Amino acid sequence: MTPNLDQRIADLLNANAPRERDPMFRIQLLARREQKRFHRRTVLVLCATLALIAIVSSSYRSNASFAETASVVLLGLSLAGLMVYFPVVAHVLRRSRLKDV
Amino acid sequence: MEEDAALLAAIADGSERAFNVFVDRHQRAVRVFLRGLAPRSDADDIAQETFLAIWSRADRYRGAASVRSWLFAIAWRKAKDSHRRSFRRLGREAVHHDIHAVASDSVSLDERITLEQAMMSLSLAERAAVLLCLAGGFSHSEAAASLDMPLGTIKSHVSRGRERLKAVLESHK
Repeated sequence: MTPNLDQRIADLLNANAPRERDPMFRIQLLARREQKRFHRRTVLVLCATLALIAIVSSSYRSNASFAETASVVLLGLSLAGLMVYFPVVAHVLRRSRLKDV
Repeated sequence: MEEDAALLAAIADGSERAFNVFVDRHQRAVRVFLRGLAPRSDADDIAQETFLAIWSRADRYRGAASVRSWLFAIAWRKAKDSHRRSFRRLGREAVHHDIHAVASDSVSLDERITLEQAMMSLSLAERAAVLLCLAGGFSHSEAAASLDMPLGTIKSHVSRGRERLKAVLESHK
């Protein structure tokens, strides 16, 4: 195989290449990333809301006092907050662990 | 010019600027690779998924392989998944590329179509090895790291692919 033929093959394989800089591709990529982030957040908030409703309704049904219901709701809210912000918390923890190493 | 590893570290810290630089630097090579493996309509989709994986997993890069190898390893896994999904959906006969050849200054349309047809006759792994080593300028060992294959397998894939393409190009003259 001659180097010329190798070069020819490389040229042919690269003939359909996109442009060196493609702002359209980058914009689509960023839009897709935001869309994914939005979907993830929406699902998390939805799950958290459902969990909160379940907690409140179960404590209401069990005739709990106001203080008990409030503490359960607070617990639920903190769990929901943790769920929503878990990626951020995990990221911070991971970074601090890496720095320790 | 910033090193790729430094860019990845900045991406792991959430730097948008580093991500944009990284995408601009590598999108062309990744898309050429994927256009050789998947139908054109899917290739850019897989390329975007590859870069999104980089955005969310940049902190997992440990420096065992070059950043380029790591990036193409992700692209390769995603291309295989996509191929598997198409295979399940459409069946063996229907999994084929749309040949989307264009003429350019140095390449005739005819020759380009012939080469794409020859590429389609290779297996997915052979195509990947040929694309990385002949079009992407990867060394055999770099390609082996990206495709997670033994070095000997890469060498034989490239050699077989090169022979097939050479035969097609010579018969086309």
